[in-house]
Amino acid sequence: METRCPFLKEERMAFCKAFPIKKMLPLDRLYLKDSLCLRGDYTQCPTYREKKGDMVSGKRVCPFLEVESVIYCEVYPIKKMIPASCYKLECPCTTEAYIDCPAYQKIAQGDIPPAAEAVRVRGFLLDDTVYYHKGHIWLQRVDGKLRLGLDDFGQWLLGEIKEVVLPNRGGKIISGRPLLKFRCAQGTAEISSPLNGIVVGINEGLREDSSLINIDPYGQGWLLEVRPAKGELARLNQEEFLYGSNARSWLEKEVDRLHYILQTEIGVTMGDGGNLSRNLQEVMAPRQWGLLIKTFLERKEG
Amino acid sequence: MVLNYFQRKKERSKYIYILLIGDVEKLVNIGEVEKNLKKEFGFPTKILNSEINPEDSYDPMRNQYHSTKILKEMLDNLPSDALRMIGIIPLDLFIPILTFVFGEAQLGGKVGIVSLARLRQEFYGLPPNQSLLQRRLIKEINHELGHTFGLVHCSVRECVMSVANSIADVDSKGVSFCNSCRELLNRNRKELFNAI
Ligand SMILES: [Zn+2]
Ligand SMILES: [Zn+2]
Repeated sequence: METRCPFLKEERMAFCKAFPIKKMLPLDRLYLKDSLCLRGDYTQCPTYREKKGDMVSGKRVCPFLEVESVIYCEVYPIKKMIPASCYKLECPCTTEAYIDCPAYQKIAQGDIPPAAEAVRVRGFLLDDTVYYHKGHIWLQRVDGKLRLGLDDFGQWLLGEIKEVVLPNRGGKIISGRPLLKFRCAQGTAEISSPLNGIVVGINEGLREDSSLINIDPYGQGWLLEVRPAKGELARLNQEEFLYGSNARSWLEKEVDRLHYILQTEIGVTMGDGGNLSRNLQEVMAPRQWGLLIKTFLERKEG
Repeated sequence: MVLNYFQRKKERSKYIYILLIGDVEKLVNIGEVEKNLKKEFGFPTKILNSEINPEDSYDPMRNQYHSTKILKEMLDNLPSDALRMIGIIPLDLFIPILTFVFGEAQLGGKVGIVSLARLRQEFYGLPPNQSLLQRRLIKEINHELGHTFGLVHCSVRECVMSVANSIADVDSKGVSFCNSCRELLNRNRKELFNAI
């Protein structure tokens, strides 16, 4: 028997050391919101300025950002976070006594209401505030411009990104034509542009550290900013782009599509169970990897 | 009784086989499974004790059994009167891209399999609960057979064809098909019935 409750979960929470109240946010969420704390311009943050004045820090993330591990019960109706460091060893959750816990026993009856909204769709992070192109590029409006990045599913497929080749600032990009290249452990992927426009900004941080795309695809790992050509913004509401609940169901279907593509000896099978293996490369031949990249990321128009 | 050619042909493959791989009958009530299959799919059933050796599909690194390999063996040994075959196995299954599977099935094919390992309360350190295990098993069998009849995953959370990534997902979904899945199932079943 397990000596620790299987529903005891650990999560990384972030908070601001300079702010008078300790307000904790899941680190994942901070990434999703493209929080100032994680960007180079955290020096613009009023709390930072108040503490540090105009002094410049060489760090890429805010020096006042603190990350702490907390422990909570996944099934208890109220999510109560306890710092991992304060957790007592004789707590029922960490001993065999978890069996008698009422929250745990509810599972025993098998009556669980359908899960509430989740930021994860079949194991992948989905940012509800961006548009998705079907080639797994996300787009977000930022003062008249569009910021583009690779979604979580896309970065998972690529695996370890060693280098990204971005277009030049001021360059013209054309829908369906090559936009950028990812050099990865398994090979190179060439991604087409989802729209027409002019490149007005690129993420310089990726030159030093392209793993930001893997770590924080919707935040620090953004790719470039584009001034869209006339009429392009209106296209965001068309079929090729997805938003909100449409994006959710599309992502769910993309995961199923993986099973279609990864045909087995006995044709297409559907496997039902746990999460996708974190390290796709380890279970897949380079040829299969190439096929997946072609199917999901290098898709041509239509 | 002498059957005419058409009847004989129809007779040929109309059973849904329940294949027991290992000591399944000790763990679950197969009679109930049969009753459910007749009700949901409308085909007669047959029970078969498997001669498949799961050890051929064992992965020592993962300490789990590769379910696609077992499906392949089921397919290689499919009885001629089997319309579909659903395997039940007490062992923990996996496919390479997933950390584990409750089950796997050919999409629009003949065979599917369900593992009892993670449907049992004992897996989570809980006291056994027979009726819950039975309910979970029937959900998973309906789901996997649904795949063999060409159904894909459904976004209706109550529908048995909705995705389950954890045991809580299995518990929160219903035993049966939503209206649109049911409709598709009936259409595909009818085509099959006309074909045999
Ligand atoms: Zn399924
Ligand atoms: Zn359905």
